[in-house]
Amino acid sequence: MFGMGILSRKGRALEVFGVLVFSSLLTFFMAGQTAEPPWRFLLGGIGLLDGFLAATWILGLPGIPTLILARAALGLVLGLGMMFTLGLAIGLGLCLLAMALGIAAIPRARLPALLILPGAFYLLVFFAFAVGIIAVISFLKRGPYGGIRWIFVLENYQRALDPLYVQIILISLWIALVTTLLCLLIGYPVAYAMARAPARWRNTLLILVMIPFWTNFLVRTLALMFVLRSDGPINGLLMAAGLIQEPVSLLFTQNAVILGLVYGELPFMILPLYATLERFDFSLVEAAYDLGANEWHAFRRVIWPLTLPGVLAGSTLVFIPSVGAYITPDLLGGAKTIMIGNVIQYQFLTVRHWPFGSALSLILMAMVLAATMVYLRVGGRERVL
Amino acid sequence: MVFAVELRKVSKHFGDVEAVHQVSLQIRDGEFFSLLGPSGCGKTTTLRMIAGFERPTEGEIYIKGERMNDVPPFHRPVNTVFQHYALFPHMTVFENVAFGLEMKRLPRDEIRRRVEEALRLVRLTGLENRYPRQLSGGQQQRVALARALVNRPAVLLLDEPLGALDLKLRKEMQLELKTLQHQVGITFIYVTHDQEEAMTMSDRIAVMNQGRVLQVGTPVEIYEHPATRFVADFIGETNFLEGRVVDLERGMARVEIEGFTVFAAPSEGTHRGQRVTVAVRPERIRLGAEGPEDTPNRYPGVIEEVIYIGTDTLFRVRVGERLGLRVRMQNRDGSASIHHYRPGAVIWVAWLPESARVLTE
Ligand SMILES: Nc1ncnc2c1ncn2[C@@H]1O[C@H](COP(=O)(O)OP(=O)(O)OP(=O)(O)O)[C@@H](O)[C@H]1O
Ligand SMILES: [Mg+2]
Repeated sequence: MFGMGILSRKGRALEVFGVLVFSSLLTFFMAGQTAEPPWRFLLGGIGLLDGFLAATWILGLPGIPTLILARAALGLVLGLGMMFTLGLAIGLGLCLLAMALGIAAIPRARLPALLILPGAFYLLVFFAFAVGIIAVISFLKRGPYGGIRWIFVLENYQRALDPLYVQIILISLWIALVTTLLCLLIGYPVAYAMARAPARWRNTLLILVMIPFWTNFLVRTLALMFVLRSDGPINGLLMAAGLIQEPVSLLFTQNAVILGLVYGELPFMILPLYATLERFDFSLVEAAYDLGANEWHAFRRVIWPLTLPGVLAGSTLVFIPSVGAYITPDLLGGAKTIMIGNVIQYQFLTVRHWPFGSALSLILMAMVLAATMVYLRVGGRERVL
Repeated sequence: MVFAVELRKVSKHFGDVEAVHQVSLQIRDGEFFSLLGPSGCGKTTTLRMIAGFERPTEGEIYIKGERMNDVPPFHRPVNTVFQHYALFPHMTVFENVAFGLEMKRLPRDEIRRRVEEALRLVRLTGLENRYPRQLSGGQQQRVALARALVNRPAVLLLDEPLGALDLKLRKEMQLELKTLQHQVGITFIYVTHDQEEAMTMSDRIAVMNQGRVLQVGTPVEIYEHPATRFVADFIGETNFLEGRVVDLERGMARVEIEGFTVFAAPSEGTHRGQRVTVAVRPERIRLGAEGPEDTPNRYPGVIEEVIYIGTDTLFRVRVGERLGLRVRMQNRDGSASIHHYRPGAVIWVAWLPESARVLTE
């Protein structure tokens, strides 16, 4: 295909490998240069080449995908995303054309890989690319009017170690942890009950769980503000019942933030738990009873370990957005409860200190990643499936 | 006498479905007792009520003389081998078998000793650290057995434990189970829809259909004296001949069937003039070139079909206009029978009066 067909399989692999290394080195070398028009053409050419490589791989060259992905990620991180995209698009286009004309065919074994491609591509562009940019920016200096200056510094990270920010990060982690635990505590019984409900009820229950998604998140949080206000219905009820004399301040507290987060994230806990529990074979519980286990032991020794994957998935899905939350603490926490998401938002949008905001983002990411890894490792130890 | 398990008029309804109807059973200590019946007849439901997974809608269940209706499964002195084994997938063979003992909070070394003993009993030594998914069907079945037996229950409940195994392994396991039961001396209640399996293994069998127990007895009683047409048909093969009782003399019933007179052993309540079914097993019918002198039940017939199946040869014989009989003959002389009796041959069929049985239902 594309003139490479005459070479042996091995020769082709070597050839592609060589081109990849070469183009990577070239791109790397040029990364420091500003992309002036003449360079741009070259970069575009390299992108095009990458596209061809991806295309040849799709058409049946083994062992290359990792290289291409690594190469592509590198290109994206170095700010060549557009060129790469263009090249890939042209390469793929040519492939499709070739297939349509009957010159080439996709080997059957390649089909699954092809199915992953759109998703991988999407993640590459919008995640790897974005994180790459942020990573680069976090080592730069702030420009006089916002923006960035291309000077390599570590000051943004040094500043993040200020106890003020460390404390905010710790509080964010704590709030996220409590939120996750509460979601688990509330969500597990709900998911369990749903999974044990008669089959004809289950879809209805599932829809009920998802009803909150029908309304905009901001609107829901605003509504929660109204509920928690000093003259809101909760205080009104408590006073009418004579339990309190004065309205208690519910809004603008850490607990209000947690309440809001639990409310917002609960479905993300329930859904994976439900999925696991619904597949769970409840005859195993009967077997446990039969062997003398009471309800608690049957839960602890059989149901819990076998539904742990759902617990891990749900907890991760709740924990990660909770750590970085900013709308909820902004609206329900007021000035007293500030989470790291608020600080980042403030740095990016208000003081326009992109490098510091980027550094905080990366630190947050690293901590979430570390926390999640530890959690999955510890949790994973308990199961063998 | 205290029975290992006793059911008194137990019924179970699932909404409109009556899965089990007024079942009474008395199962003796140390007995190998089978619940036998076609699919959906309520065997599993009956077993689950004994185990405590289902509550009877009516009636009472006793285990070792104690009323069990309100006792949860984990407090009943019974253990179950489930139809699909229900092994814990996240536990090794050892952990699976140890589970029941751990629940009893036995000391570690005793648990180890007893688990090893149980695994030896079912010949699984050496597989302690495997997970269920790493075992063959037969091995999984034995783990399930060891997991139940290790608790030394008063009664072991088995729900078609061999259902998932292939025929050869099944036969092996049947013998093994029977031997095992002798060894441990535990009462077995065994659910199966395979009549041969029930016959081979059981001390007594309860034949069920549509939620009812039709007959309880030893394999011999059930085979030789089936109480109903259903039982006769379900256990082994039977010729059913419809007719009317014309007389009862010297302990035998004389029945008119399609113009022939057949003498047969009456059952309880058989009376003159009654419309009845006479049941004759195919292997009790003799074929011959001449009618034998020792029985009044002998008739001329024509062979319609001959099927050679190795151990036996099966014949379909027409007697008179309307009677078709299935006859089974053991091949003592090799394949001589098929040379001797060919389709179209005119022969005599005969059977002893004791071999025929009047069924009034
Ligand atoms: N949980 C249930 N809900 C409703 N009906 C049920 C339930 N369990 C059993 N039944 C019904 O009760 C009847 C007896 O079922 P059971 O499982 O006891 O049959 P079985 O004799 O064990 O059959 P098989 O040999 O197929 O296992 C069937 O008609 C079945 O559909
Ligand atoms: Mg069953």
